[in-house]
Amino acid sequence: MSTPPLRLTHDQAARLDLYMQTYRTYTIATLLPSPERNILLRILQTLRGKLIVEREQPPARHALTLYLAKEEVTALKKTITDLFTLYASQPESTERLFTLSDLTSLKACLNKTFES
Amino acid sequence: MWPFHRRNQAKTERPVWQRTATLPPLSEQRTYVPDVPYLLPKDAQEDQRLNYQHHVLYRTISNHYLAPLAPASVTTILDVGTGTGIWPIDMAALFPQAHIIGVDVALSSLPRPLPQTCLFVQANILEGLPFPDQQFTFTHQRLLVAAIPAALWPKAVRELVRVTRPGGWVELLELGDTIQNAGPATKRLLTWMTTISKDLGFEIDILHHLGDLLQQSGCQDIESQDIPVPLGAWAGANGKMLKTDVLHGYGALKDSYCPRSGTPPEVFDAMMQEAADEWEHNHCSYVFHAAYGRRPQTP
Repeated sequence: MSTPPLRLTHDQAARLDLYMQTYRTYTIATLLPSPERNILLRILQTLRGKLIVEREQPPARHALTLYLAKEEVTALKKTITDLFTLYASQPESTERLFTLSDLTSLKACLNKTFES
Repeated sequence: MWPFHRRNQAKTERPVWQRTATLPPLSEQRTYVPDVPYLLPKDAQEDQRLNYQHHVLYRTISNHYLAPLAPASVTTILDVGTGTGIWPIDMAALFPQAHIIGVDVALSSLPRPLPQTCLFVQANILEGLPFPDQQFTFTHQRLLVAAIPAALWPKAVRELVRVTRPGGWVELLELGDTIQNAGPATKRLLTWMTTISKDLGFEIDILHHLGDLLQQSGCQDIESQDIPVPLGAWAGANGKMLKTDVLHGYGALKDSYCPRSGTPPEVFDAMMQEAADEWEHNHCSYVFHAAYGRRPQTP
């Protein structure tokens, strides 16, 4: 792998899994099929699979480590950006505020880890 | 490979689908599989449609499967109702390290040659799968709404889960009777089809509860999703392809359904055309129902 590893706590990994699931569900239900959409969905689908396997490792480990391909990093960044836009358009709530904050932190972590 | 053996089953009475439904008469035009409750034909024309449908599905739902599989963790795959075998063959390319088995009541449609990692077994899920427990890391079944009578869906899904390894995924994908933006012609067609299907013991409503079936069979981490797919040229090439597939799929049921309802074929054709025109005008979408879940890691 040519990219550095992405290190997440178990809680962060659980939330990332949920974000990817949410984005896949939203995208497949709302965007017309296209090669670009399908490529993104396939990347996220495989990435979720890797994350799920990693999360099932012995819980004694403090952090999970994900080794991402470049296209996975790109897909992840797009996912977070699009989800931020989606949640930002929702009515105000505590949950929305937390999610937006969390997505912002996650994006910052990605940008720092995978500085391009 | 595995020491397969068929599970012994007492056959002292007729199966439930024979007690509750009558198979449609064989048509001179189409060929059907005898002695199974499969409403669609099994001939070269249908093989062509199934392969075409496979490509349509790939383009519209983005992949050959929906479960979040980690490639390295997939070692054995089962496809129930494999038809022409095109799904296992394409999956063999995606998962070259996996052993893949396709099961169907008839294996007359398989191409030659077959990938070395694929094996095909003639079996009927309604009679139990001929595999030991906990064999497969991914168990897949799609579009068997016309093959599994409503009363037998829970049993079928339990079988799928039974042969899946702890931690393995089970996935279901079906196409029912939900068309978004349906107009009166489409509703008339769908009502006609679902009524006849119900008379034959095939209750399409079960398809809205695929996730429930997985849960009742002991699965966890279940994800259910309705996937609306544009139906018609109004949505471009993908929509046009799905429309073609749906028209041919409905057409494949014509020989079964028309005699049963006393509907002349030409009336059916007119009903179909009217609905198809409506799909374009109303920008309809056909809703696929998907659900996948995992067999728990610990018993």
